[in-house]
Amino acid sequence: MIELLFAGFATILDPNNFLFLVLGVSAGLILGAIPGLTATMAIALIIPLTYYMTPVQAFTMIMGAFNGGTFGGSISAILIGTPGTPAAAATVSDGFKLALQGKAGKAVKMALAASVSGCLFSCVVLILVAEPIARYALKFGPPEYTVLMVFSLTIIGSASGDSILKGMIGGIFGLLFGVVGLDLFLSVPRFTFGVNYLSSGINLIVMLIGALAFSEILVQLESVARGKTSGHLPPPAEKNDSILLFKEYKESFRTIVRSAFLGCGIGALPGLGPTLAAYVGYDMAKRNSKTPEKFGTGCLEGVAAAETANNAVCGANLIPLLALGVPGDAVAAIMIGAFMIQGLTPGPLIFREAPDVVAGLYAGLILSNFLLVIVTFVFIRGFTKLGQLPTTVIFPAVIAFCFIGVYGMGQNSTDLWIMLFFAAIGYVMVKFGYSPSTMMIGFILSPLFEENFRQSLIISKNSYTVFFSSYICIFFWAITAYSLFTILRARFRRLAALRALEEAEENAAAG
Amino acid sequence: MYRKTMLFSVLGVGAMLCLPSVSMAAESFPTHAISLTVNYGGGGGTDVSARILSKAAEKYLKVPISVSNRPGGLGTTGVIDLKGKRPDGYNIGVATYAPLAIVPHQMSVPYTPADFDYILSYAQYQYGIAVNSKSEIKTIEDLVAAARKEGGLTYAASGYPQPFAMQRIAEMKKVKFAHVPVKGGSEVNVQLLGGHVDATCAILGDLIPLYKTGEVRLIAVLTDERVPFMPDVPTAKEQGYDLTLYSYMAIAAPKGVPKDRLEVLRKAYAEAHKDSEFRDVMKKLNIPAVYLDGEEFRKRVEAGYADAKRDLEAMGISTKK
Repeated sequence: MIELLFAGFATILDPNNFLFLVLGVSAGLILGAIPGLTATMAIALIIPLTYYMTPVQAFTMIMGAFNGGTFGGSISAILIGTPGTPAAAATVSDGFKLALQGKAGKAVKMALAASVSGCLFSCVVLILVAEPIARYALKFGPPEYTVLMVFSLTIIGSASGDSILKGMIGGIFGLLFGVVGLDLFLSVPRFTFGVNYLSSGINLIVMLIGALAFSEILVQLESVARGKTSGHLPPPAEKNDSILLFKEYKESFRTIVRSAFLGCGIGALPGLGPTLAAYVGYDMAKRNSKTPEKFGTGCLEGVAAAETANNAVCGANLIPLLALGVPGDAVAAIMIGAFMIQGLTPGPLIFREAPDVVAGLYAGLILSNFLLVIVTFVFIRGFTKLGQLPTTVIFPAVIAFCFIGVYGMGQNSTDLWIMLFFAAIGYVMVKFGYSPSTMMIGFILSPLFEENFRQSLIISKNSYTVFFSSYICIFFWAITAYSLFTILRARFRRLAALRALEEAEENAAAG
Repeated sequence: MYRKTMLFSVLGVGAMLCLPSVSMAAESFPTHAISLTVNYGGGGGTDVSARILSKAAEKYLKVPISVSNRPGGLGTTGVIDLKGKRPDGYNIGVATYAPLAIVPHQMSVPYTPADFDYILSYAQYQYGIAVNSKSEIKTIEDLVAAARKEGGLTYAASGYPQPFAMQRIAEMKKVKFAHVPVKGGSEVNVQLLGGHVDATCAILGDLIPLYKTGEVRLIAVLTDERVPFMPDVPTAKEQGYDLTLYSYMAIAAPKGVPKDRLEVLRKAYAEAHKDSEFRDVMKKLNIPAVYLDGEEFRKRVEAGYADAKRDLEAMGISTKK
């Protein structure tokens, strides 16, 4: 394998192939960075062209675009507070706060370091142990996924900010929006308000752009208009604000390793994807932190947690694809088409049919990380300059891209109304202290939970014992219980601290 | 001759009135780009095949065909959109079998199969019933026997018409198969490999990778004859079940395209269908590029429309009105 891998590197470094990798990474990075345009769209557009490419060219371009796009989303998340792609949604809360402190350069570089670490880790896992991991992932049937979703719902608890009640309300809204569309089991559309278009459900990206990106722009516009904040991002206050110190990377290293494992695990389980990975990675970092209160105020570790986890999915979602022939997420599903156009069978047979292509794919994915660093450093000056443009220039441009991206995706004006609807909801949520992220998490989990829950009951003939039937289920119940316990404990501690503070104040006043 | 003179005079008048495009369109077709909508998103089998076929058709139509995607609404959004376009031959679109014949029973759509002129059906999906190769089940007979013994079996299926096949077997033999719906076409493989369901009814193309590795066992193909890429798998008919299942990818236009223009489109696409590049891609995508002319496809959609109503009702899924 090692020899083959070296041959793979040689193949990729051939200018004919390398060009495609550069194109893929750059296209992914730029499309990912623009709110409204995503790497998945770039890849879907590349697929018909791959017919005219060699397999190595095709896959390095696709993997480059995927890796570049997953990272690219974080650039706009940090610089303008609107995630470029759904996977970067969890990066906003700390990344943008850092930019407001004049540390945009530092945050982007941390995101880059974390993304590269996550992706490289998942590449190693992919190359060394894809087969056993994929086999193990098959043990996850509908009941296991259901309990995993129950556990994932507890993320809402820590994403909710000050009030758990508000977090739960946001989460429930998300869950409810997630049921719009086809009832998979009766095969009949529901809650579509008579709009046929909605029978495929609300598009995640449309909702994200409305609830997280557009609403954020509205909030910022308002605060700029009222003169509360300046129309610029502050310039770096200190010399070190634009660079990432090795010390800082080391401080976040535990978080990066944890997120890399989580991202790999979530990527290897078919159907989950990078957005959920980022939220889980962020949540776990916050919970295991000694200073959880710093998360959400501009914490480098928060950026590292989310960005490592989502890029770890890039390599990991190839695990089920190559080992079993089943796609891990939407991008991998599109890649199946690319394999077939090349006359290759996605799945273990490809190791026999075309080992050189697999080696090229591995090498391309690994090299895409180094290229990502180079491309980012080439563009970073421009990116941060863009971030420092007056908001009167940035906001109209972002709003325009929101409209263009949302319309371009389905070429349907209904999506624009849906986006505006969620922009209004997101705006109101922010104004009243609800976190739109809780709604997004609920929305992502809702269909996964419902589908697996109902599938489980069909398989078990309506017996609920199925949710306790395997060790995996019991494991997830246990960590769900633990998770609830830690959330409640943190709340009690905070309440106790507040009460102590009040008492101290009263005493001081009385004394 | 008379018509030609007429044409020239019309052309002359048109040129004088600075409205050349209007009069030109009456006789020579096409004169400018044709727009083709695909009723699914980019990068999928329907999208890729429609793009490559249309690229080949450009050679015969001598104008560009611009392809755009109108996904959503279970494939109906693109079809509804197509119905609303001008029937001038410049607006055509991919219309797949399920949104034409099956989905109208599940939700209200503002069209029926009669609202379109069909240019051709350029590909068909074929289906098969498969089990995990560790299972003892080798034939449909075994499947039925196991269902009888166990008091019912589960099967995974993504979308329709796959469940209709299982439903018909269940009705014939008075056994129970519980439908476990899954989302993506290849998710049936996850369920089957993980041993979470007993069987699946799926598109043959989705089963090929695991059929080749020997991890799933095809117990029947639901075609009229055996398929060349799975020569050892018997048809359901050979096993005594009068059961076939197909669905189709077709290109249609809103009803009322002038006859001569429809003919131009039909001829161009029929020629394009022989294109080697198109054939090659379809072969790689494991989608049989079976040609049906527009009228034959209309017949199949109309027959399928009636069958789907019956099957859905038999499955206990209420069909609208």
